[in-house]
Amino acid sequence: MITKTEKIGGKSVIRVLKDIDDMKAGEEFKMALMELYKEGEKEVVIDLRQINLINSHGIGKILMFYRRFKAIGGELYVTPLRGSVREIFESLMLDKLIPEIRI
Amino acid sequence: MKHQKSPQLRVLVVDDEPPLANIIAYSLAKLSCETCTASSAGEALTLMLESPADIIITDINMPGMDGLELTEKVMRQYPDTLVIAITGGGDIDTAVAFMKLGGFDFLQKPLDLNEIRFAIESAADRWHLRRQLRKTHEELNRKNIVLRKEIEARMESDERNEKLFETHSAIMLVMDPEIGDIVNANEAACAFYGYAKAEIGTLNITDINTQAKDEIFQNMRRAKEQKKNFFCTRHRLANGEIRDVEVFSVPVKAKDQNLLYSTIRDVSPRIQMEQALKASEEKYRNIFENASVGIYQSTLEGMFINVNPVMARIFGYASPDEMITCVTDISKIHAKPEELAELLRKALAIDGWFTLRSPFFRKDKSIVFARITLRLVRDGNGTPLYLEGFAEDITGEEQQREAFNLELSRAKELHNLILKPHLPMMRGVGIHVRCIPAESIGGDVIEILKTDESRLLFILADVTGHGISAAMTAGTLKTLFKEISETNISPASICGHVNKTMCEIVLPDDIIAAFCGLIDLSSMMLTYCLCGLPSPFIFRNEEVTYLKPTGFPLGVFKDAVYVDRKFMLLKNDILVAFTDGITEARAESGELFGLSGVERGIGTRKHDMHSIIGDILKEGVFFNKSKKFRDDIIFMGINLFEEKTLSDIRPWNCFCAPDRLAVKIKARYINVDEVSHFLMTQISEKTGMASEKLKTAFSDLLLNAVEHGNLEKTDLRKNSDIIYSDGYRQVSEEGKSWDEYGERVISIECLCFSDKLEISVKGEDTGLDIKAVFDPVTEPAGNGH
Repeated sequence: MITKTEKIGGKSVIRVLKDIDDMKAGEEFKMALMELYKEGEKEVVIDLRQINLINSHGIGKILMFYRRFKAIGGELYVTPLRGSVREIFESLMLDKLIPEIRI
Repeated sequence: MKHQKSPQLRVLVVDDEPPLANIIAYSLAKLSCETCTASSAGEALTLMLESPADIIITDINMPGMDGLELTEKVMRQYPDTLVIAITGGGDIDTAVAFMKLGGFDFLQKPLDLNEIRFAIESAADRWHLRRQLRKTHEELNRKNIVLRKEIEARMESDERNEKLFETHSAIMLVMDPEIGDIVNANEAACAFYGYAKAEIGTLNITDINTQAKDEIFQNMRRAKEQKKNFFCTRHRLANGEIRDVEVFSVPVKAKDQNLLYSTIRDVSPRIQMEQALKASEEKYRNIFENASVGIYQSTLEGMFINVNPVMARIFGYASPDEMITCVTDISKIHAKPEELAELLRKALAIDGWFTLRSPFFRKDKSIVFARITLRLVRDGNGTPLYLEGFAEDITGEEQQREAFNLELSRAKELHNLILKPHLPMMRGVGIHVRCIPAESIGGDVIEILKTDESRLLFILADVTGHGISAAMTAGTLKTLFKEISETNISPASICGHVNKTMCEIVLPDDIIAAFCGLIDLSSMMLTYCLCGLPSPFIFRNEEVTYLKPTGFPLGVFKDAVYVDRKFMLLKNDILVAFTDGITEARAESGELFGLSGVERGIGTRKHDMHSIIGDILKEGVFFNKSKKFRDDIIFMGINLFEEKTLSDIRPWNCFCAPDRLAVKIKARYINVDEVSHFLMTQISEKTGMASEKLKTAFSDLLLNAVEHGNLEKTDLRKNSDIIYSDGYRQVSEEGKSWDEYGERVISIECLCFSDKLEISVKGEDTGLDIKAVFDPVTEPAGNGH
């Protein structure tokens, strides 16, 4: 499993355990997000603290579900960003889009 | 009166005429018989009482009791005795009467001694035969008695062993062969059949035996008559289960009743095993015969031992036998026998299965592509025994693959056309583009356009992923960019347009990162939109300044607003942009190359754009530990410079992809040695084909192209004394400063194939003096117009 989902303080936290840098990892990540979306979760936190790299395969999924959660009045968060993941988020301006939150 | 003794035969002669009797007795003596005589029938009967004779010879006509009467009495009292009569001549009636009484033979007077002897010898033979017969009969009787006693003894023994029957571990049944009722069953039988003792006694054999009733009774009859004792059949248990059994039945007589005594052996497990074995063999045979793949066994020398029908069919033979017979050496039907030999070497060296995809010859010499998977079978000591393997006809697959590869190579050609940016030649601008796709085609794309004499518009974009799908989107994006740029050159407007359109034609989870910029050479202003690509940088005076992102990636938010940002450029600035394939390069430790890796690559030394990009890539390869990156990479470098000023920069437009190199240089900036060196380095990196000979040839080609602006020098160049003179060099340098000559663009194109290079050098002017190309080397194909 590339992710692990748990409920912390009313928010669903999806912990990403491995780098998302190819199509296969991207698809698995998408399935996990889809699960939460289908369950009607409104507040979802993506925990990227354990990984070094999330490339367009993962970013595309985050943006896709960002739109979906927004459309149902939900909110997508990320855990505080560090290092290369922050660099990637900033270059895509996702740091301006998705609020960081401590869990 | 006794004359002689014979141990074998006693003969009594009866005659009322003593001389005749004596003569007969005398002649008989020679036949070694015990002979006695009687003068009357009465005396004869008396002698018979004392000791019965074996043969009697009697006269018929005697006073008192005649010979017929005597014969009648003897026959009655001594049925074993043979009687021979002597009658008067022609007395046939008497003779007939005698024979009817049971006489053996008769002799007619006058007597002949030979006749007498012959008659007695016949009688003696008869007597011996009779005795032999009697002996045999007695022997038989004796034997019968022994047998009877044995049977009786056995019956008694059975009765005595009633208890043994009960507790015997063998399954035993006693039944009445006439009606089939089960009379008795032992404990083992009750346990086996699953009935209580009382219950089983009420059953008939037809309740247990699954055979047809007629057959059961016929078998019991045969057992009873001792014609057949052993039967294989199936018995039904109380729970309905059917068992295979072997039955041994013998007749016994108990209490005047004929019964069958049967011992039953449950052979179901054995039968099941046999059936399982048979089924398994059948199955293997079935698999072998009907498998959808070819299966074979062959000797190490390459002779088939066994092939299945599919194997024969794949290789175009009518039957396995035909294939085994016709193919005496497998390597002969292999279109590339060396591949097979290599595979065999592997199989001999290492245990396991090996696979080979190869063309083979069918029987009719047509080609079949087969995937052969084989292994070496060894005995317990590891000695190679034979090879066994599978063959699959992959001709269709191979054709599809070929078609796909053809399709892919056409797609690649098309992609190359799309990928290759225009390298507009503009005053004071040098451009360097380098593409490193992860696969044959990818999702990174670049275009650089000259919108007018002083403005340069570019886009560098990266579509999620790599491969065909990304390439399709990238192609669309580039086309879209070109279309939009015809009416709108503001990067923000272009990005807005592209975003809107691409939102509808990209997958919802794909994104497009892009960097779109416009350089106005007259105002030196860079206007740009940076949407998701890693930060490009400006290299100025050995300092690096990164550009900041201005908007979201394209294709995500349909209504996203994009705004232009501006950056003032200076002469000698170098703008470098790149896609994330380089920043996402990863070390074995998992560390990312990132922007810090890019900075390491730039270093601090004095650079031009070609060396900056080369160094970043070199650093990336070193970090990545491979020339092959996981994602597509495109580098774009734009170098602004002051025309006509001599500096260290190489103001060449250069496009580098894995299999091609395109360089455009104004004649005035061409240093033949430098360009040749650069080109050879690139070719060497791509193909390893570069050589001094090639370099010399190329240099000449280039020189020829450069100097075609001075056709009048052609003749001079033929003279090596002139060409290497300072005067000639001076003339050349002066020529470059003339616009008419120095502004000409020389295009160098180099295409790398697996087995050859194609290099072309083309000048803007026309005409070629082929004679001017001295010492042409035939190796590189090329021309200098």
